[in-house]
Amino acid sequence: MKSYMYIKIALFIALFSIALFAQETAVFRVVNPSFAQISQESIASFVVEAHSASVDSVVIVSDANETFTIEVNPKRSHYCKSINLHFGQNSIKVVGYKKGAVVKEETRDIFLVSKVDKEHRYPPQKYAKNYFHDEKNEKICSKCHDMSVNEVKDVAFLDIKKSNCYECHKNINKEKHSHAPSINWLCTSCHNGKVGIYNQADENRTKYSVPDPIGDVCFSCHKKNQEQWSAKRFHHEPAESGRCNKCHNAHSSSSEFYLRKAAWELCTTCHKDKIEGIHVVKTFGRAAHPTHNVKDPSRNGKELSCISCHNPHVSNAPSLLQSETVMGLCSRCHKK
Amino acid sequence: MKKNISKLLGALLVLGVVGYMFQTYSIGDKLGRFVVVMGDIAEALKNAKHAYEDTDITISDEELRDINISKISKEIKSSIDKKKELNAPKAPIEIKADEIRAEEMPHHNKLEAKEAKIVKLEDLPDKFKPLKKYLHEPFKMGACQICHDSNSKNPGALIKKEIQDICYECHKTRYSKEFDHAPVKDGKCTDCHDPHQSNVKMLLKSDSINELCMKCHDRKSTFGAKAKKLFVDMSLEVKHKPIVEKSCLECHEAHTANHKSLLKLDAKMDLCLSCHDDEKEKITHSKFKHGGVNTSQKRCLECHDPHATKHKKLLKKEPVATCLNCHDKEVKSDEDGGMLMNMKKHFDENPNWHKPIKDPKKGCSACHDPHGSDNFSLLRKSFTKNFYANLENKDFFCFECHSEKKITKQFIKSNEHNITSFRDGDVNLHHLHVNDRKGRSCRACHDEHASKYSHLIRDYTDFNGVKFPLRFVETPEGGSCAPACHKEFAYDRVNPKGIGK
Repeated sequence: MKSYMYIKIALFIALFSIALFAQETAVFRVVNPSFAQISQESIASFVVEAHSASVDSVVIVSDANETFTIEVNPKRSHYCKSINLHFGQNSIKVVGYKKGAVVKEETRDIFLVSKVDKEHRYPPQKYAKNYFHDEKNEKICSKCHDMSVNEVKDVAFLDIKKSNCYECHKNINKEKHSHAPSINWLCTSCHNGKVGIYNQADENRTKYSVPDPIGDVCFSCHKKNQEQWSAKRFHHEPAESGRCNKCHNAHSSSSEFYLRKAAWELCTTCHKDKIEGIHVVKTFGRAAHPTHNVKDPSRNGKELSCISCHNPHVSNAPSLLQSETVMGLCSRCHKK
Repeated sequence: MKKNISKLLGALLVLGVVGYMFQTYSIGDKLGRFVVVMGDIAEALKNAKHAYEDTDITISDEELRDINISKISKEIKSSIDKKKELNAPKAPIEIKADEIRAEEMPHHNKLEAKEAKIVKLEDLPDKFKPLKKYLHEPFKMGACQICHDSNSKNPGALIKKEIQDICYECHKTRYSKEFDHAPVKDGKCTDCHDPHQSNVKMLLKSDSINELCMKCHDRKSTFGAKAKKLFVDMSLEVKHKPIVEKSCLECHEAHTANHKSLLKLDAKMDLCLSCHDDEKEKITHSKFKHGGVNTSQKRCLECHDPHATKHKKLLKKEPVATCLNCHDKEVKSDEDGGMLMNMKKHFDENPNWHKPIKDPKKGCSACHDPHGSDNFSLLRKSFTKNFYANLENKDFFCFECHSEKKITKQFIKSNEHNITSFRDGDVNLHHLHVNDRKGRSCRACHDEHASKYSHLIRDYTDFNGVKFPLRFVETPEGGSCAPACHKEFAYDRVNPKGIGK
């Protein structure tokens, strides 16, 4: 008789804990991103599954204390939100509330890698790439979104909002200068699902991978550059190895030429020795030739920077100077 | 001694200062780099020798053709010379005598005539009077017996049953080429020739050669359906000159020929070019040739009718319709092997046509030379295929009609507003788009054929193989574009939006 009692108690405890656990997991589920994810774009897409029965609202809190509140309504099960990231480690909290009380809290670590900054180029080991567009996730999305590619090869959308990519990825083009294929949502012209020698790990993981080096893809439009560059004597290493996206953001940027930073800052990220000290000539009693923070006479309305004198891609002159003769170089600004 | 010491001290001081400068400003380093740079410059100069020294370069004619800008004056001169040459009075058309008349006219000597019974001209039956201009030689001699049998029951009966046997008795050259004129084949010499006399040379049965031909070959007088191509309608207003000024025999043989349709030379092209030598130059020597002439089945006759038509230049159809006869589908280009667009579809879909195309007199040939050209797309003058084109290289065909001011004037004052409507206030937006090292060519924004939009604005611009929409929207006093090149920019002629400032 007693043994029955024990079994009953044990069963009760087991069922109770299962019920508790089940409630705990059912509050919400973060579909994307993964727990420790590498991101290459400054925006992370959060996809949260939540049910109004167990949670009233879900709040996402970014590192910069930006909060985004999702009001859970009974008609929907999945909610999407774009969160801004900063370079390096981001720790983003997802908190579920029921009647004003916290019912669940989860943290997502995202590492925004930089193609240029050394300290943000290599994420710690716990971070891994996450490939969102897999069958499982797309099935979830397809409740609300058309997940097919509706892009006609080499023909841009008359109305960009008609692109199936636009709805979720529109923030990628939010900056001032947008690259034409990007702002016209010809995504698959670069995201062709191929891989290069530097990203072989992506092979067969996603249908939207971009080959690295990207050079050949870029040259398919920028044909003239390829012709002209190959004839030159000196080449800047990233341009030579076809890693255009090291310096250029192929989507959009606040800097001219879609550079990842303003030109001077970008150059000095690698060429750190040029930040300080005397560059170019110095005469007695006068300051050295400036390299930034003044207007560039050779480029109307633009700031002086490294690229005023140096060609960032190729040159026939040593030091990738813009002109083959000293006179030619100086006279770009110092006209009679 | 003291002086020496102070000098020494001074020198040491200077040396010290120089040494310090060397150290602090790393002058040695810079000097070293300077030497390297100078060395590189010297090397570059050495490599670029040709830029500074005169060298003996000969430029081939083909290269000359390519170099449009620098050699433009030369080219213009040569084209003027060529034009003069072509306009110069032409030498009379030489047609080889042997080709035309393989036969020789037989002449009867008196001995032969004596044997025959001579009928004096006065004794001829009345039906032969009055005598006509040209007389058949036996008839003239009164040697009726050569052809007629005077001993027969029926007076005047022929000596032989087949008339051709009688003719060939004297006119011994038989017609033995590949193609025979049907009456010749059937031996009906007298269908065309009068055996006695005529007012027309060769004793023809009518008043002129053309009239004789048209007796049988008039399309109007025949019941069309049968062998239609044998018949011509010469009542149409545009007629081929040689037919009017001379006769059908300028091109055709009367009896027999080695070429179809009894032509003297190959009908498709050689015959035409034997007279049209200005086109011959174009058709045979142009850098770019028109497949419609050079490789088509009917060659010249694809577009032209050799006899008479309703349309200028003896075209079979209206000028544009003539072109669309073939260009109503994608056609393979002879220039680069690419596919030429379906022009008919393009014109059907886009209601706004470029003005010259609408002009019934000009049509496509306002810009294209259908016979061949040294410019791509058979254009009559140079243009570009590129998206970008330097303004300095403005030797574009477009400027034949459109004023260059549209492009070159940066600001357009209120009294010159008719120059261009593409303005934001007084700022000329054409200038803004074109005036640059990276200036855009006309075709970046305009479709030179037809468009859905006004001002022939393209719906899509081709940038290195990718089609980007211009998204042009017109407003009463301006408009806006949102192409791939920039985000949406609006302009307004009355209330400037401030573009280009």
